[in-house]
Amino acid sequence: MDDQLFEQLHAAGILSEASLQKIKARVARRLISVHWEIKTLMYLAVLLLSGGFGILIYKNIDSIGHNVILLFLVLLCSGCYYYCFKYKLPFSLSRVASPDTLFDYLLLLGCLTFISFVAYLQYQYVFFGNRYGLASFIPMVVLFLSAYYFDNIGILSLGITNLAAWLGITVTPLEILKTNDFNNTTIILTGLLLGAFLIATALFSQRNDFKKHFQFTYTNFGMHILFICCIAAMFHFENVYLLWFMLLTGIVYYFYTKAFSERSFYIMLVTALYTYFGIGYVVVRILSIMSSLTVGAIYLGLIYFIASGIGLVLFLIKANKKIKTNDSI
Amino acid sequence: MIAYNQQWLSNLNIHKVVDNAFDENCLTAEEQEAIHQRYPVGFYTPNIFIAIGLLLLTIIIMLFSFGLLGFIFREIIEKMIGGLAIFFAIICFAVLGYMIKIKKHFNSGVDEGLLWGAAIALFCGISLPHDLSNITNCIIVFMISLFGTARYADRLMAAVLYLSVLGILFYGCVELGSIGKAIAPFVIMIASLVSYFMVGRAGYKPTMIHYRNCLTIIEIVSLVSLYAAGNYFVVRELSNEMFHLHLQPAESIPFGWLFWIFTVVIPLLYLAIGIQKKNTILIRVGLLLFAAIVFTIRYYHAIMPLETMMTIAGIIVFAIAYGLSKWLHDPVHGFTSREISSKNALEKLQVESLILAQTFKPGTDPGGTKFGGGDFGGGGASGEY
Repeated sequence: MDDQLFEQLHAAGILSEASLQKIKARVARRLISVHWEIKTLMYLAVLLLSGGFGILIYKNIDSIGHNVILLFLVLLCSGCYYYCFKYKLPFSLSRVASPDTLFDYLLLLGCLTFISFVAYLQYQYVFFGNRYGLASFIPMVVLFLSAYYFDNIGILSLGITNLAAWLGITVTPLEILKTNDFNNTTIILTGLLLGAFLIATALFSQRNDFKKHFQFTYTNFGMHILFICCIAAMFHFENVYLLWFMLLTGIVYYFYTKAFSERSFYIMLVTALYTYFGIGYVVVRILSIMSSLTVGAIYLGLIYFIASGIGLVLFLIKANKKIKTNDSI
Repeated sequence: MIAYNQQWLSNLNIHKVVDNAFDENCLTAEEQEAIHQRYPVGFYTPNIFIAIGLLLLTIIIMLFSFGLLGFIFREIIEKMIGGLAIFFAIICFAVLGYMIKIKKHFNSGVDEGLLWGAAIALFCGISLPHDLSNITNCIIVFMISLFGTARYADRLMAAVLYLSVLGILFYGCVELGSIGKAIAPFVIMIASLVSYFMVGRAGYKPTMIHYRNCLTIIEIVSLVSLYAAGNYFVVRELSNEMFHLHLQPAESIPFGWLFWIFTVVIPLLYLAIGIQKKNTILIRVGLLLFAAIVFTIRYYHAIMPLETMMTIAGIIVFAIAYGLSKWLHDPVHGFTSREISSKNALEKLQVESLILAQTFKPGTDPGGTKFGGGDFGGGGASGEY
């Protein structure tokens, strides 16, 4: 079927003989890649193993003996890291490909067992005393070191979520809104600082070519934390919400220019949606002040959301045309 | 019949095939460019992220528009709601036509949003004011989704169309009485099988070329529904729930053994045939359903404690995955463990990293005031179960 198409193209003179032969050869020995199937299986295996070990330890905490558990965790962890150290490609500040599929998942398993090990040490022996921070600080450092040393974006993401957890915030993608208590001043302020820190780190790695490809991961987490905390601040400090709205405008401006300079559709979309939400809140606040004309205010509100929605659609279509040169994330 | 410009749809298909060949380094960039020039596509299809944004905004606009409509008629909304919804659906279809004909939108988020808004409003407008039976509702869904699939070639519509047919068959069986209820799973299985083969055939017809994506979706859903209708868990729990059998925990259903065979054999069959015929859809669905075997067996027979099974399964899966990646490093029977096209490699890694961050989440101290109060849950997945 596709064969015919290429024959036609060849007959029309827009496909060279050499290319046609290449395509025919490719069709004749059609190769199917099961690369992502294998990756999924390995990921599933790590999920099962770390979960299984976790419950095994939890349930048999009294029967096996603590030293045995600790020894087992140490052996598993060092086994994983041994493989990683042995087979890793030379370190570089730019991107390093992983030597094989197994490598990434053993590294992941190693990191996870190390976290379990530290947690177990603290839980059973109160190893770090009352300095609870240390018990989550050390795994975080190990995660970041592993991420940079073995060049692994997945571990970096784990490191960032652990960093946030150490500060008392959940940044796990699907739970960032659900788990955090955004009526808490400390959480909002910590979140803003963390977001700013992550964005600064992203800028640093980009400017200094220090693991440049990690930039997007930092930006992604930082962007969402900043936007969400800033909008939460508008709700929380309602007396001075316009002040926070000005901060939001500043953040929006930063990411708006970033989206264009990096041609990132993703950043453009995220920025546009948070902006829409922030402005919508301000408009609703202003309308609710005009409480004397209730019906009119509701009409105005409904019409505002329809009109601004259409406006944003037109804006996104325009932005898409502007950015469109080559697709990227 | 199809609302979009057919010539452009055909050209788009050519682009896809050619771009694929280009990614596999089979033709030069100049050739790709020349082919794109020769077969122009005038659709407006933005980047996927922009399309998601447009879809969200379209939904927001539709919701507020319907709210506005309802607010205008708020005095008589009780009696009018059905008519209002149908009226709203007509408006949506009109706007959809405008966006497609004049603005040339195709898979832009806007057209999908409007189509779905219109379809849902139409269904609610017809169904909600009247207390209709299940089978009548299925027939209404069937007619709406048939229109949506035939005219707009929407993939999700096609899936709903297929499911509505199954729904009609299922409720038809239920109406027949006890014999009908007993044969319902077999009717669904036969229907799935027939649909799978029909769709496979139809895919080769030149007249169906614009519906290929829809057919692929129906193919996948057919495979899943064939399995679901024969799965012991689905059959037992569904018939227990719907037909009030009041089964005791250990009690089986009539012909239980037959459904156990289906439960175990069908995914293995998919995998075997998929590997033999090099059909990636069969292989992937087979792999997915393999998990369903494990869960079904595990649900009724606790052979060993969960954690032991997880650990052992983890080791086995790891071994299989490792073995496969080594064995298929150099292609065997047309399969390889290496990536053929390195397109978007970094993007895929980014997505994967987000999945990792989601599944292996650290514990957070809900108080959050004292810096760094992670609990035992800080042990990755360990504390969660």
